[in-house]
Amino acid sequence: MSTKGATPAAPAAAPPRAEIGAVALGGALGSAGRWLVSLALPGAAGGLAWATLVVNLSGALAMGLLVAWLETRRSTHPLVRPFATVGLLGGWTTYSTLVLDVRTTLADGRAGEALLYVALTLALGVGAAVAGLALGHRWFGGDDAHAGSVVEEDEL
Amino acid sequence: MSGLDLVLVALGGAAGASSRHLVVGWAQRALGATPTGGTVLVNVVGSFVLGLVAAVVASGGPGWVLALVGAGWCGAFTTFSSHAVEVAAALRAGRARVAVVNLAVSLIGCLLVVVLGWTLGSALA
Repeated sequence: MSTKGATPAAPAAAPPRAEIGAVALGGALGSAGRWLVSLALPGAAGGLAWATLVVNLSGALAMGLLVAWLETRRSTHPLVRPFATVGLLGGWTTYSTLVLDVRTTLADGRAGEALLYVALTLALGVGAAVAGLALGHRWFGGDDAHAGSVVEEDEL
Repeated sequence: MSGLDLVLVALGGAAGASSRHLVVGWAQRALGATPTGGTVLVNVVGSFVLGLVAAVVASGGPGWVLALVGAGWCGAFTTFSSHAVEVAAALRAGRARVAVVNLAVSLIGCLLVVVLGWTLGSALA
């Protein structure tokens, strides 16, 4: 099955221009939200970046739920998936800020803190996504056997 | 300034998410990449750009660039939510090795290029 990102194949293809527009709108909203969280939760001087952890964990949970929900819906509007998964949650979460913060922390000679931050993000992030998929399949009635359908057969 | 920054982040985020959508689609068509491969690709490229931009701004470059290109474009071009769900789905499908390789390649690759970008940006600025 051909899939895009962590989402099932869209039931119907949206016109490319409308699809890009939906992704852009979602990306603008998600990124603005991430920025507001970073203003609301400024890291303690030289401390861990809690704002990035908050957006990444909440986004991973939401993406798991959303992917499970989309798997059970064959007739969602073709712009829902690009807007919500690629745009909104893609813009809300970030990987580049995560590694930049790790670089800064390492450069400050605080390797233990960097390791803790990475371990927390990855372990809790994957855990949140697993929980989102599992809860979503329970709530929305999706077929659990399809859990792997968002992962391709090849290695990477 | 923070109101203007919010607009810059939103504009950069719109461009970053659209770019990711196009690049992941292109990587699948032109390179035969899987969706997971596409996610790794955008995360590595975006991390490099953020390292570069953050170093240039830290060396006295204009601060608005960090909002538009750093928090906006790079933040949205890269993604943690798709990465986490791709790893989670691999785990749930019993493909632990794929999950671990994805986690390791993404983390090590992105860390290496953010350092590379920072070093290059510091040298250029």
